[in-house]
Amino acid sequence: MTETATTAKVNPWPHRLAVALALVTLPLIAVGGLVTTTDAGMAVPDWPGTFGYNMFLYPLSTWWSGPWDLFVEHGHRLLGALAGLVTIGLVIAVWLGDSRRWMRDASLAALGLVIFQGVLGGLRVLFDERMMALVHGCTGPLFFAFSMCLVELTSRTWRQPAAAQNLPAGRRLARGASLAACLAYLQLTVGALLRHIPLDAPPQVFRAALLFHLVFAGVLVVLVGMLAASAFAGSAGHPSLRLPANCLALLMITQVWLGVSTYVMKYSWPAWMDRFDFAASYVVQEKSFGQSLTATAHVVCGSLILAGLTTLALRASRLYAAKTSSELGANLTLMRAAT
Amino acid sequence: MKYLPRNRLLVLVALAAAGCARSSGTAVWIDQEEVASLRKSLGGEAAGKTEVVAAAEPTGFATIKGTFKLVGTAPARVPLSITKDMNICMPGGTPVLGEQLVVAPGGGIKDVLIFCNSKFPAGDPKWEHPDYAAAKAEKVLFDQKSCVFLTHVVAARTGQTVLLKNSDPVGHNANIVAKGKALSSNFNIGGNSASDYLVTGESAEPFDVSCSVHPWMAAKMITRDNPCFDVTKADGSFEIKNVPAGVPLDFKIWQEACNFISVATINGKVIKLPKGKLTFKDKDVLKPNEQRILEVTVDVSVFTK
Amino acid sequence: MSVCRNWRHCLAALLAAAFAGLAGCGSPDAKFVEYRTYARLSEKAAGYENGFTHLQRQDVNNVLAALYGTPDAPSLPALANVDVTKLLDISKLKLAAGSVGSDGKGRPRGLYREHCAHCHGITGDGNGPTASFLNPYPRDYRAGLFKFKSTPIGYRPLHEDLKKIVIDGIPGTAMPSFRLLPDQEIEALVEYVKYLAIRGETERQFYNGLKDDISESDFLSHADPAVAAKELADGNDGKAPAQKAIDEKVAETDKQRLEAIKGYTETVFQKWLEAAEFMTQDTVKVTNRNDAMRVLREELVAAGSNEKKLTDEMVLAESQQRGRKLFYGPIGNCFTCHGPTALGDGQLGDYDGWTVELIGKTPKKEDIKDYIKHGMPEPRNIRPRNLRHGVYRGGMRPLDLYWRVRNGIEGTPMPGNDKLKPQEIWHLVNYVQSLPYEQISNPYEAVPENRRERN
Repeated sequence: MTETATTAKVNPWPHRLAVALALVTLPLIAVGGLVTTTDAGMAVPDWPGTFGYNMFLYPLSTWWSGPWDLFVEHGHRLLGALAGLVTIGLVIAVWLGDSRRWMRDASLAALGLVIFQGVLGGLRVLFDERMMALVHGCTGPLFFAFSMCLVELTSRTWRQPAAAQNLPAGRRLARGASLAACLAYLQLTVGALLRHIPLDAPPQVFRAALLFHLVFAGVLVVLVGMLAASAFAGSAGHPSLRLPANCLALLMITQVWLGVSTYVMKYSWPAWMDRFDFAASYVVQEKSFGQSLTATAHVVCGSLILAGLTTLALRASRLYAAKTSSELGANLTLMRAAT
Repeated sequence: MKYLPRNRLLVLVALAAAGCARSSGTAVWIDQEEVASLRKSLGGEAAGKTEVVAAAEPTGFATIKGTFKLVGTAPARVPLSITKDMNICMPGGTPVLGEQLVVAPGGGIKDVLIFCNSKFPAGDPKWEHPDYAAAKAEKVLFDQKSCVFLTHVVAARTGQTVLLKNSDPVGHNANIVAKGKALSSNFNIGGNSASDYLVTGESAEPFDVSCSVHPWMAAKMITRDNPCFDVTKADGSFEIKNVPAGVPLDFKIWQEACNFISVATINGKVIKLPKGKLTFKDKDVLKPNEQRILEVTVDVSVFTK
Repeated sequence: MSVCRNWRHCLAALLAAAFAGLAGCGSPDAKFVEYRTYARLSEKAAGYENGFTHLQRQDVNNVLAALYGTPDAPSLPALANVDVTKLLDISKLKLAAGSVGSDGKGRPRGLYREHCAHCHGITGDGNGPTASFLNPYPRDYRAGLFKFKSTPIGYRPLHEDLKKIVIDGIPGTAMPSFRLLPDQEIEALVEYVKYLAIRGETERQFYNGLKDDISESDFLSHADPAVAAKELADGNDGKAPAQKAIDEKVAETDKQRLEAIKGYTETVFQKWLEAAEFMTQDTVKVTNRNDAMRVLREELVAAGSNEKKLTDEMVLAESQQRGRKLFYGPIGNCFTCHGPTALGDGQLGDYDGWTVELIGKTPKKEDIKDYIKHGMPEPRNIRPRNLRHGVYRGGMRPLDLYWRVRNGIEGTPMPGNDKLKPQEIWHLVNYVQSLPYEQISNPYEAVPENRRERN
């Protein structure tokens, strides 16, 4: 079982389930973002049950026609449970159908991470503790990025032997993408802090975090722009890198726009802009559909960027790095460590 | 797989750290027992009318008069920075000086406020001399000319009206930022016209009056329930007539440059005035028809510290 | 591989540490914070070298907690001379208090913390986590002063005034409109804002009391039998007093203490009740704009205008002309602050009342530093409104403008005009409303010496 399957027929289920996991996780993050945006985190006061019911037995009609915050929160729980089930399926599929030992470790890590995340979400409710919501909100994107890695690692392309080219520009690309992924995650953490700022934090904390978020947004725009350009056209360009590069460039532009919109729809235009009529007359509409949507989209887009950068880093290191597995290990460690 | 258990341990530690938030102690700065007992006594007792009147009744009326003089050289008055309506606010280009501490050539201190801080029962002729009751209907003049409040420290009684007058051709306003039970107010006073300010309650200390149009204009106002107060004239003299005699009384002495005057020499004796308080009690109590003279000297260090 | 594994361990440890750090060991129950700036102001005015003692401040906190409860469990004091329930509704307060959540039937709790506390702070001190980068700063409720209201300067706002701002928001600022919230939730928020304001005002009263305290003892503390014994002995040539006398004196002091607490608290409530009463008077009743225009029309006809040819537009134009005269004249005097071009550039060196209270009109550097240390936001100059936008923060209805002109804006240099007739105020309102469409005939910046920069 330890020899690598190179020519043997590959079992398609691990890949299918990995894709399914990623597809479940993205809306899960979106709904989770919505929970924070609409302050629905404490709509259901107990956990793991829902108002005393088993989570899965909570009457569907009550949920569907209930108040908005209950709808969102319970929906988030159901989706989370689904993600957990898919992960279990994935572990089984990998253990049965994939002979790579580190792949099995990785699938177990995913399971560990999803359990950790679920428990964290539960504790956040039981303790009514916003700081835990923050950690919970930071682990979500991490899990999503990890599930995208699994999609990549279980894919057919990955399992075909690649002749790793020893190209300095390529290695730079791989390293740059890894760095950008780390920065993007840091940025995401700061963003989560902005959304979960403790009410008794001194104003300086928020100001510092916002400043940091802005500066890092600038850094990331430049970095991602450079990466996309080099993945697309530079000497390190390669057809398999084009899709992530394209997506990243697009996502980055969207993200900056979403970020500005989120700010303006929450805190209005900055005061120095009040020479313009549109800024002077702008009234923030609290809890409006647009406000919730923009903020949540900003969260989702951030997760997508993180996932895109991890994918790019993986593909680039597979193509160009001599020691694929150890580079990969560096990327995976972050996620594994949590289990 | 060897590394897994250790990692799990770390996570457990992290979780434990997160969880310990709940076990931290209760608020340190509120004494819960004290709060509970206070709450009980606050809710339990029906509050009767507050009787703050001193037990003794006045036996007549006396007069307090005297002067405030400065010992030492007064600090130079600072010219105000006048930025608009120059022809009216700075006629002839002569600099206008601040009025925080104005000392006459003989040492007399202008604008020292001395007021009785004891509570008088309202409308009791034993406490409030009929002259005062009659004078209550008079308006207190508070004029402004050449962008200066002509009364730098104005004192008025509850129920009195202060006539906010503007003798300039330009518009002013009197931005009164009241303290205590007095009401704030800020109304425009057009050129050569006037406005009224009704005193509705007393303040324990003077508060600011300013003009929003001419930011350098500044004055102080105090409102009192009892009528026993005066502000020293340019020569440092003051006189409070018809002060209830035969009862212990508290006075407070205030000057803008130093807030409440903390130490002074009164009739040759150095007296400490905690928060500006001067007490007449026991053998110092005023006698009916007495003329109590207070020759007060204040060292310049009180104002400049 | 072994290097790699060590690396993993390090990362894992880092991550765990980060989680621990983020989750923290703090985050205890929500607490009100002390009114540190006002305490500082009071102790400075009282001349205390080292400030109020820890015990004095704890006394204030204890009494406040006894009167008003905690952020999670608000309560209202029972006062004999004031009907507290006329002003505040405890059931609504409970809807707004506590931590955010709901009961599964759509009944929310913790509304204040969900919607307001981020900017205004749990205590309503205007110093929530997001406060420092907002411009203008969020309102500090604790002085009881609110800008946009129907009552004149010096009076507290009405319930409806606060509610209007909560519903409409303030354009061009971070104050959102809560129009989308159900009415009962908005009601709860307004009640809670009043509650925090009243609580803060009471705190100010207590610090004032500590400052002015005539008896030189701490009027908020429990009476100390030892002190009472000593006082009795001093008054009796040093002879030790009987236990009964001590007990009586202690009881007397405690009674005085309760009276003082109630007295101070009642003062605060009375101010709010006064405002509602004041606004029922005839003198402050607003005349309708149409009535004002009708009167003007009659005046014009009496002065010889052809009644048939006199259109409404002509009457309005005349009204605007009269308003313009007031705007630039010595009575309205509006141009001195709003600028000769009404661009809001006339007087730029002022501070708002909340700042001036602490540091004065021409602040010294060390005072600014001192109060910032005690929680004052970095002072910013207050700017007169640019009237050319046609956007008014206190509301867009003509009636809102009427109130601004008639009553002034609390806590700002904007004065009211009680000497103008209602008709004249409507002329000014008409002129102000026409400003966005008026040509700037002579556009020039305000005279530069009016800009007083902070030194």
